[in-house]
Amino acid sequence: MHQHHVRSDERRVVVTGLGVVSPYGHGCEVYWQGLAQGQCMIGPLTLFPTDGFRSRLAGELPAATVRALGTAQQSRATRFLLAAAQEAVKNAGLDPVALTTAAVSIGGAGGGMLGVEDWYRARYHQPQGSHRQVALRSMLPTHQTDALAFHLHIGGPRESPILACSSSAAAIATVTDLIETGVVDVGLAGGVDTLTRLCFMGFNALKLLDPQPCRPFARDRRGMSLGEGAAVLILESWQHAVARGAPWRAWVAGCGLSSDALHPTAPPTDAEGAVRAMREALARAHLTPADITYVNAHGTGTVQNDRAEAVALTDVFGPGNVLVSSTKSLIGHTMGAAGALEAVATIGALETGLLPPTANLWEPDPTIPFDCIPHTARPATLDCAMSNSFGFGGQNVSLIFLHPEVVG
Amino acid sequence: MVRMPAYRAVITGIGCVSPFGVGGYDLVAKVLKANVSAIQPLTSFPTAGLPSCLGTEISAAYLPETEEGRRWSRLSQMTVLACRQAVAEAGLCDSAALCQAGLVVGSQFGDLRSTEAFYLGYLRKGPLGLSPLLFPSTVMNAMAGMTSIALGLKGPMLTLNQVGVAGELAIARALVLLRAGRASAVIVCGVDELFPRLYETLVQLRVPSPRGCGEEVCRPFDQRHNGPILGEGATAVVLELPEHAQMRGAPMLAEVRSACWGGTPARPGHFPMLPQGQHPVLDQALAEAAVHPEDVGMAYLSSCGDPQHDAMELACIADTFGPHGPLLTSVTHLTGEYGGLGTFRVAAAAATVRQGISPRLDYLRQPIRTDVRFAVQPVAPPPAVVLVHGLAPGGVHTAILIGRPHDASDVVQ
Repeated sequence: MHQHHVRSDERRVVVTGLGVVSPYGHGCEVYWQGLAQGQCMIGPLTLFPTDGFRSRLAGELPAATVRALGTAQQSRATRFLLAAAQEAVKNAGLDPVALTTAAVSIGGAGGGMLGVEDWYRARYHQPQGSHRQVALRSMLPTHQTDALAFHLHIGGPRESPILACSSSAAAIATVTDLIETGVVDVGLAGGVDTLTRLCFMGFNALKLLDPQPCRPFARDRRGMSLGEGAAVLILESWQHAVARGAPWRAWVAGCGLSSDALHPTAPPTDAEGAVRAMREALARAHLTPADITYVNAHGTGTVQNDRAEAVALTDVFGPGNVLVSSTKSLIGHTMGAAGALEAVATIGALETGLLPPTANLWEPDPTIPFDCIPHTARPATLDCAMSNSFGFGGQNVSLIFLHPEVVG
Repeated sequence: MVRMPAYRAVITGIGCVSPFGVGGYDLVAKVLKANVSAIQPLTSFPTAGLPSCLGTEISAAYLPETEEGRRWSRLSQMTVLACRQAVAEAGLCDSAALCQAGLVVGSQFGDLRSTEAFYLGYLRKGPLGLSPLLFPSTVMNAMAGMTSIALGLKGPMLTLNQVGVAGELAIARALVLLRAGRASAVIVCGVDELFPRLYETLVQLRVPSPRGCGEEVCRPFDQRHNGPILGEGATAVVLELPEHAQMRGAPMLAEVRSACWGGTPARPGHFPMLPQGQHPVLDQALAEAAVHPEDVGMAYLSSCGDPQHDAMELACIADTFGPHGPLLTSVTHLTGEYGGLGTFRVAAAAATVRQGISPRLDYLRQPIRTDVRFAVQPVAPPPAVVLVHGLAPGGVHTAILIGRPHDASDVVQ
């Protein structure tokens, strides 16, 4: 068994800035207020036609919010990402000079595909026509990361991890590793995804979308609802943050990554891979399960995923020993951006002592032995919280954040 | 005692699915030694009416005809096959060791073939035409997911999307996984494939040679260069901590002394305006590897015949190493160009430090710079250290230093 890397105190990682674009609008504060109020943003999808599909709902950004972001020449995904990153940098009070050597890791799944779908569709119907190929530029997820680096003059290590629904959680783990191992002092980590036909059609084809707003952990849950958004976290070494006098909003205590190696889309019934990811995060944080008060669950609302996650949580924490909620019930499953958006939600819970609720949980599944915080945010005293992300391909990422005053 | 880098990894196995065949280290060495190009007119799909018709292709005969293989997309088949070959060569057959191993896959385009097929189903038949079996392959991590299932890899698994240097980036990222203590062995695969729609679109965007000027040909660094020739392939390498490899008695083919990456902010799809931004990456790689510039005997560059790319990368090398720098070479005139090619370059560098085998740029008549040295003759003796350098549109650059393996006990703490 390999040894866990032992970092020095100076290399411990803190979060100094947050930026969000979500179905609630642009801004971290707007996002947190929406979550805390338990306001479900899943509604009729207007971005493209949904005729003939099992579900016609999603957590879509309001058109007015989108219009106010960036320029029409940029792809929807690029606009989301730049807005979130600019907020995070401003929020962290980060000098632009620090960005010239900062790392950037932005996870996604297929955010730039929306324009490409239009291009392909036009080409399919009119093969001989002249079609604008400018949309193709934003097709690859790396385009969004490159655009971010260009606009903010970020000059350090740059990558675009693709781990399906755990992409941006992996981005946070990546930048944490780069800081802990001394490669960089500062990094931007996050994710972006927009609603696309491809994703909407795919989950419809798999019959994984709920015709109603999703109901994670409910007895009658029927699947997920899709969403869109972006979130960026500014991560720094503790030493760097102290040196520039920056307050930090949380510690990144530990990140665990594992693979199921079982099935392209389904989790194992014993959730063994998810258990390993959570235990690795705990081990790297030097914490025990009893230290964790709240878990922001992957909680998609599909029958299999919620059941498997409950099995994993039971294995790691024991039945009922931790409070659990799914913020996907409020904004939908934002795919590659979900891990980062949920990390921000988890940090919000640590900062405010308020746990975001699970919406639409009228009848909890009796086989899930946890209090899943139905409907209303719950006040709690908490120092440590975990955020889980599990993706297609059997990719599991668990992140643990600590309240800023816990250690220092 | 030799001064050693603080963090290093050894290459213990290579797997290559290429137009030259399927194999391990020996295949890579044979390809370099023969120095014969696989570029030829494409035969697996028609190119009539297009201004380009050349490329490199992997024969269907190389891909597995098993029941298991038929369930995977072509790109996943290539990835699994390359990783299996690398794992076998590394002797990493113990299921417990595989279970803890990590996996990093680098790709530029991912499985666009499956994406197109999935979307076409909808355009032709509406919602009923959508295949739930195809959808998972439309996500770029599908190749890694299939490989982890096929090989039983349960450690950290990453897929990196990157233009041009996806393979190099995957190597650098794997080194971070080792350095962070997340795994003791990581399988790294660079992979991309050609398919009709992608080829046609890239030709229409004037990406490959001839770009409306002259003969369709791949000539990196030559004044007659007019774009790359597109190709496909998958190359996997097994990277291990030296002590892990030594403990299990694994063959050490070469050592990754350092792998650094950074980015010069550049407009997406464009190269940086100035080469200066690349210097810190190269300097850092040399410093981390504890290698002086004059110790680097050869450099594999990512340049593929794109005039801007060739000029920018050579400027960076010339600035860092001066006129007595390493012999410069390329593999794209043999393999064709694809985003995941960097792992093949790393495998080639391993052959160069082991046996002094390297590709020769026989086509080079009029180099675009005369203040650098190109590999136009066989190299002898084998260089102690070889640089694998990468530069991509958007400004991402990479520098990986490969050397002959040292005994793990030589490490200076």
